[in-house]
Amino acid sequence: MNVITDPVLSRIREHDIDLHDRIVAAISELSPAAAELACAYEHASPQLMRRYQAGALEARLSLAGRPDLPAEVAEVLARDDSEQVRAELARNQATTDRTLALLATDSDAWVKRAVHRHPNASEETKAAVALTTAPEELKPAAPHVNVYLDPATPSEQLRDYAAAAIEGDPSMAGNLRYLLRNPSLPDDVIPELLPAAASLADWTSLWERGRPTRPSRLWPSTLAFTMPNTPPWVRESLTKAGHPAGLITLGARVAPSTGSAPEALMQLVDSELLIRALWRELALRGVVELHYWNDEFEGDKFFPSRGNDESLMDPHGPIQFIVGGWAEHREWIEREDWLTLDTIYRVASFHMEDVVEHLDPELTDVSVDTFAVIGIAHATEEQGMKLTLTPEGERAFEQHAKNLSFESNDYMTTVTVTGSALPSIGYADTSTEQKLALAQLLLDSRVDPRIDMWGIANHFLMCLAWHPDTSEPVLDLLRAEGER
Amino acid sequence: MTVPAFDELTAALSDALQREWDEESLAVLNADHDACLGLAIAHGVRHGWLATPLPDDAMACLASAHQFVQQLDRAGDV
Repeated sequence: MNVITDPVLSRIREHDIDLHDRIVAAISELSPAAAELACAYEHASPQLMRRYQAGALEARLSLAGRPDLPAEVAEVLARDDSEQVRAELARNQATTDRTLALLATDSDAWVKRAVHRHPNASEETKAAVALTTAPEELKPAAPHVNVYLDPATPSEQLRDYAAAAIEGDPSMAGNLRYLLRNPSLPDDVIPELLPAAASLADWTSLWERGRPTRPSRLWPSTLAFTMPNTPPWVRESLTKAGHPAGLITLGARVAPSTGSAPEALMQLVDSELLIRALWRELALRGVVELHYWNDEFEGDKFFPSRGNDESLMDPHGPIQFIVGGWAEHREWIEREDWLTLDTIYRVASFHMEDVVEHLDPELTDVSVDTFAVIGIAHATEEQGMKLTLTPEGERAFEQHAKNLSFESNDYMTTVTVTGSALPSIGYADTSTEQKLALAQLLLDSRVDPRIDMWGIANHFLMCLAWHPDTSEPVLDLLRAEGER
Repeated sequence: MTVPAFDELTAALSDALQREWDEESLAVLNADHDACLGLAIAHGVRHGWLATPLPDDAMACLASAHQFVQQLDRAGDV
């Protein structure tokens, strides 16, 4: 498994190891997900590991995959109640024969198989497995090798696959996502490959390329900024050490940034701290409207719009998925309930195109009443006619909406901004120094082709330009950049 | 072109739409966009779904629908 790195925590560790360990311990206490991340963090202390060896399942799973697990913790995990934890330990390439011997008589067949195949397993340990396992279960299965994903595939061959993808070879359509994750694929082909990526899976592979993703793409220090219960001293220490979230934390002083600009921006994007700071304020000020598109097929999109101004975001590219895609929880917005009258209007109006322009045989099968509902919805939504439904009309709309091919997960909802659980994250009330540093971070992050070509940095620069509280020095910087 | 009274117009358009639909004719769907919307709006008015008076742009769609239905009548389609 991947070990999570964190340049901000590493910087603190260089100067004050005691403070570092206290911060990591404090982060681990924030939530089970935080404990899981802290237990996967590269510099987690042995004390922290001992503390979580009997902690929540997620934390134990993180521990079981670590390459530096203390022997006594490994022995505790070898007796863990969860076969998932024991299997993770048995697959961990750093697990010693002493621990593998404990797992050799495990009740779970998968654990025993992993022990039998383990390079550190001694002949005695393997024999112990064989004693309680049928020989056919221990036969090595024919390994399934995905050549696109396999780091052992020669880089010249990977270049050929990349060239095929760039040329639009159909055989690459479902395999590009694997190729993009292959660490042996030379980085210099990425800018050329970017336009060939055409699905959420491709885009996600690109976005995650070269970064640890399990248990999270976030640094533990970034997670700390997303939690309302993080002690203020932890946030302050992280800000002082140059965490990029300090740029959108009210009252924080700007410290020299830690990590590269693209890495820093990716943290602000993946944690959604930046959209919380900017989109939320822009929506509250009436500069943009926020929308949510439910789409089970392509993936959900969450995005701001400003009338018909399409310069905000490319509606067909990856930005709406990467910057504001599906998220399990966003407490700062409320989404419209399914099938309100507004939803019916919007979704029904989409059908007009199907009915009239494509003469869709399935939709022309609708009743004349449903056709009228579609037409009225379209006239209101798309043509902007000020038609008013009577109470009877509202009932008819609700009734006939059921006849349309409504998919609860394929429609656009309006979004209402609510209170933020993280009141210290914002933009308007940050200092000019912070605003300037944020603008500079966005400009600098464009060295990464994903951030540049997908328009991510430019989108946020535009948000700064539109924000009523962006001060003159920042606007000067943006103007100078615009002229360049 | 004689423009009938509002109630008469919406009733006639709604009837025409209903007949087209019953005959499974796609002619309605080939009508121009405004006429198509006009038929839908007329149907909504006829069934008491829409508050009246209608705004001007909706009235313009009714006029387009009226013209379309008259053309169909002349072609012997309705």
